[in-house]
Amino acid sequence: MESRALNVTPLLLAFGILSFGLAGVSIVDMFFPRPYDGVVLDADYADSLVVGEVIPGSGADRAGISQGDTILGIGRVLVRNSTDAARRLNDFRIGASVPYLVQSGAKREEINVELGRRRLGDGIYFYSCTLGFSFFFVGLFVLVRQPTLRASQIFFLLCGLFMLFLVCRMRPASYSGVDSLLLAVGTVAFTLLPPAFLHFYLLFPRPAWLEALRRRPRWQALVSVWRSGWPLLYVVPILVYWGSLLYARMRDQKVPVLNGAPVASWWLLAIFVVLGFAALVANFRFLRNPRERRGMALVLTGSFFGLMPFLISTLVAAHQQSQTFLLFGVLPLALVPLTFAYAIVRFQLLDIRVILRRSLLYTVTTALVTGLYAGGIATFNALFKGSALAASRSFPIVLALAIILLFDPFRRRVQEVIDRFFFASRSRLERAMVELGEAVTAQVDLQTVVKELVEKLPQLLGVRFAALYLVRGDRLKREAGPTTLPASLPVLPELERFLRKRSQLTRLDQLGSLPLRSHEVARMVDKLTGVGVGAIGELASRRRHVGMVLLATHESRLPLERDELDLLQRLLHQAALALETSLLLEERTQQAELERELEIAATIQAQLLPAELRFAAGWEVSASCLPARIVGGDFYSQLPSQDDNGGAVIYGDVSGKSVSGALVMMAAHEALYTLAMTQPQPADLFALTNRRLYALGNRSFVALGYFCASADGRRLRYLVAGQPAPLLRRRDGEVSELPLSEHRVPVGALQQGEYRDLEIDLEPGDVVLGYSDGVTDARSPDGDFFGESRLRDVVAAAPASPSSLVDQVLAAVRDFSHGGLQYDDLTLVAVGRSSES
Amino acid sequence: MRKLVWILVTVILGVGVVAGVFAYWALRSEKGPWTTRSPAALDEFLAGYADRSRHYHFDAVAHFERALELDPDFTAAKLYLAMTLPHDYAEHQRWFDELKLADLEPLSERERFLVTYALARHRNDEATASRILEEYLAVRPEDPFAIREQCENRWQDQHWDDAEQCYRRLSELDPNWAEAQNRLGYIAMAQGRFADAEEQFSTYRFIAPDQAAPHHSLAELLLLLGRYEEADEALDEVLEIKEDFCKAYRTRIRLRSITGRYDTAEDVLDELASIPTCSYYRDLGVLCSLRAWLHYQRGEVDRAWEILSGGCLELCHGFDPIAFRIAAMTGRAEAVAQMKAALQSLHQESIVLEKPVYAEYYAAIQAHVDGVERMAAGDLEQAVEHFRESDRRLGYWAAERASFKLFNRLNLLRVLEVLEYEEEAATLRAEIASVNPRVIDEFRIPDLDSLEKPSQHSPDRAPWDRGAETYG
Repeated sequence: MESRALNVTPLLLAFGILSFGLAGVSIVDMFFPRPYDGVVLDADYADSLVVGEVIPGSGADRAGISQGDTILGIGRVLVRNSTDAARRLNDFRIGASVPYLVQSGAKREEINVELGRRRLGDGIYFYSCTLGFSFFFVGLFVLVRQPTLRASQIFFLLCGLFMLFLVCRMRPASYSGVDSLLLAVGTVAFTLLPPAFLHFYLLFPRPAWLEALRRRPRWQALVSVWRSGWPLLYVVPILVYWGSLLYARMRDQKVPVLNGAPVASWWLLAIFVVLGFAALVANFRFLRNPRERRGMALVLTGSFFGLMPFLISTLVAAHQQSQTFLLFGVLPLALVPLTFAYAIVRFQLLDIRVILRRSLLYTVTTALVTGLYAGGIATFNALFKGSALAASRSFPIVLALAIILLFDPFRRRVQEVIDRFFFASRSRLERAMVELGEAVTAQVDLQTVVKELVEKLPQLLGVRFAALYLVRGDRLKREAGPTTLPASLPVLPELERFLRKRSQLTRLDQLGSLPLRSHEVARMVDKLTGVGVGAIGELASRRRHVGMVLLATHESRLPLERDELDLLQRLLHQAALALETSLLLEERTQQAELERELEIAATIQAQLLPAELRFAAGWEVSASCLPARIVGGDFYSQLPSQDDNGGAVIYGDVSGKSVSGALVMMAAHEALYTLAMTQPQPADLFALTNRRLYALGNRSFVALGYFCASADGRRLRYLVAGQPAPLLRRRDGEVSELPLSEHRVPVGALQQGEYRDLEIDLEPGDVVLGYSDGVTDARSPDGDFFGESRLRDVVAAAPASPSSLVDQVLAAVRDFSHGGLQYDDLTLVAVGRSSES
Repeated sequence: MRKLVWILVTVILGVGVVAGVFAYWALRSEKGPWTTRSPAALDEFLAGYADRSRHYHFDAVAHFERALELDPDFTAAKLYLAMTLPHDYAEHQRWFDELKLADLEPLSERERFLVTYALARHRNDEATASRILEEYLAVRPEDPFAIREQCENRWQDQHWDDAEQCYRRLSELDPNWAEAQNRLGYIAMAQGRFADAEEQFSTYRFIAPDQAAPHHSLAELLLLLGRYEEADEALDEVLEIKEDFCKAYRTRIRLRSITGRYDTAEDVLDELASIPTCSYYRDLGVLCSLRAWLHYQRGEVDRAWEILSGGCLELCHGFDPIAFRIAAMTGRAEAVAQMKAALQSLHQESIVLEKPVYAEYYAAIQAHVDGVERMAAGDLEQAVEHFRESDRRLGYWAAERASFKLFNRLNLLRVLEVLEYEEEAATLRAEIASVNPRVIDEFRIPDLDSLEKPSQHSPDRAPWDRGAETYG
């Protein structure tokens, strides 16, 4: 498309830096103290030193040098150009009397000129410089705002060229060494000005005429010609320039030159500008947006009344061979940058929105008012000078008091006017933001807060959409916003840190400057940019990172202004607090629900444990299970009885705690219980259960212990897989560990589990105690473990009854930990022969 | 990235070192423009060169001689000494002979060029000289020394446009090359552009106000233009700057001769004769010729002839226009014949030596003396023809020849008036007046005052006899 062009911004900026540097050199050069004769050279004579003007009272004036004379030699040296002259003049001191060779009409004479100090540029040059730099900064502002828009690129080029012309070409040429260079630069700039003018007017504010023609098939050829042939615009003036010089040379005529350029080039400028006006009018005709049309009308008016006097005065000057009228043409030129700047700010031309900074404007206003007062004082003093009133001592006091009294009310009045004129929309926006902030803060419901923000922000800011992502686990999840946006985003600590450090909303295009930007950030930025996101900001309180807000570009696809981002930031701080409150509430609710669920789970789990263990006569059995959390991973259960035994009990310890442990426990319990119905052999039971649990695939396993009393009441079969070795307490109080088979891997840990049960003969009064590691791992407040040694002591000291043994052990553990935090589930199963048997 | 920067820095440093070494080597191998082992000799040489360009020839010679004392092998000093010494001097030839033996190998390119070129010119081998100059200019087109030689050639050949173009180029290369400004003034003068000439001489004077030459050039022009008082002031300036600037004395004698102040002119002549550094004027017969002319103007014809015949003519290579005029007007037929033969010989010599400008000048003199002879014989019709021819051959090139042209024109005017060729006479009078409005009225040539139509006197009587009646 025509309006979006290749990225030539770096080249343009280089041009800008060079132009600004050259213009700066032109200004700085005038401040150097140099010996000077008071001659202002006629800049149209590059190869001789023709006097254009003589400063009254200067050495040259006193020596009788006058306008039109030619300086041939200075200080006994012939000089050909201003560079020679500058070099020679620098050999003398200020105040020296230097012989000059001057051609005055037909007379060549030698005169002495007393050198004075070099003067600064006159008022007209100062005005030209101010104007030139104004052009430049307006152009730079536009380019920075819209670096890729062709119209803004050409505008910047135009402004740079105008600056060079006004600063370098209009400078009062003297003998400075840089004169030749700067004047040549000014001439080149002037040569390129006409095409730049026409080119800009053809594209400003957008090439509506081209868009209109593109829709009409019979004009396609013209469109094609324009698309490939517009560089010719820049070739024509160069051809005219050199052509006129060549033509004059061939005819052996002197080229009529005005400000360094042949008059033909000035005519060309006039023609191009008139064509440019025609292009503006044509564009105006095709524009439909009333705002654009108003801006265009303003620019057209400013350009017309700014440029036409300049052109007319220039052409009159060419005709009269005098530059007197040129001054009247330069003055109205100020209208051009002024109207452009105003139109850009007021009507958002070139798609540039500007929010004026109030503080800046207030400062300017105050300075202006102060200036007015200073002027007033000066006027007042001048008016009353010499009068009795002015001679009075109280006069200055009264005057100062009057000024103090009047100053502030006047300043405030002026500021009110400025506020009404410039900041009405901003005030409205501020008020709306405050209201939204209050509304958001008043809400506690997360969804309401989210909805409020995501719906209101686009309306207030004129952006296409807003979206809100909240931190959920290790990702940011979209709570609200268009579905074209990703459902979730990664939490990138680098980005989070950057945004937190900036502490404000950040445009995505500014993230390019993020130091050491990672690929993840780049990927995310690209992804978001691709779906129209213009800015992102972190939502965070002091305590936590809440989430992230995403804002699209404006409806016009322009990025958000800095002032808008600043305004938003205050609102987003409020939103972050509201969201945090809502999230806490939501989390508390969820936690309460979870706790309730856990209580239910604990009840269910508790119900899974048998209320009573029943073994055949001659056997006593007792068990206890204390989960560390509400729901635990330990369990014990009596397996279905078979004919050949007197009862079987199993106890287990699932890897993992709480809900996950409980669920595995449930699965293991269920598997064991079910399989036990068909598999009376513990080894087979364990093997099958191992296969079932391994198949669950969540890497959970269960440490199991199994006791099976014989029907005759003398033997106890046992199998231990992953549990500590059970303790055998003989009747006489002797405690020992039961021997274990070599295969005792927890059930579910390996795909192929192989188990072998063992058997032990018990005497009456003997008790076997199986326990989970929660017993020995119990800790005292000092952090000591309960340990096997202490357990043995307790078991040895306990009565020879399984129930008493279990109780004694539990009591001992409880005493040891002093009622402190239970770190692990704790299970005890004791099986013993009755003493009576 | 850092590695790349280091590579770049190393490459830049390497290139810098190589360039530095090359520049050092080039500068070392570059010879200075003047080859001498003695800095003091070089200083003397440069002072001599500066004096030569100021036309202070005697001072220049002294500097060159001192340079050669300090460094007897200083070839450039020998060259410029040879070129500065008057051609008639034996020393002039001796130094050229020495130059022929000089070893050119150690010399700079410019020195080699200057020596070989000067030697070719000295032996009148113009073709070789041109080739040497062209070859050198092809290599060093901007060397002002070579351009100067080129300009001088054009100047000597009286190719005014080419010479002007050449000197302008020289002055563009160095606007303050004073000699160029001087020559440009004389070129303008030769072409009758006296206002331009005055501008050039003013420019020359602006550049070198401390030199006598620009003031003198201006004085010569002012003398030609009849602005005698200004010319006198300019000559005062000359002699104030350099009291032994010999040409200024001669110009002042001419000025006083034209304005009729014969006694003071003779005082100046005496003054000139007393200046040792101007002795070559005496040696070349200039002094005696001028003195004779002053006496002739005062009507002291015998005294004038006495001076001329007392060895003066020998110094002048047997011919002097003043002596010829006196001899012709006083009926000294033998002397006239001898002088005509001597002039013819000089003319022939210039033809043989392929010096067309000199040949032209001698032809102009010859035509003039023929006119004088015919005038003395009363054959005014023939005299007119000869004077016309002489006028055609003469220009205002250099003061002496410009004065001679004016002098010839005064003769022609007088003859035309006597013959009553009124229209031509009026035109010529206007032309002379346009150059010098005062010369017709103020310059007294005694024999012309008494000139009459042939019918009014006996052809047997010499004009001077008739004039003698007038002057008593």
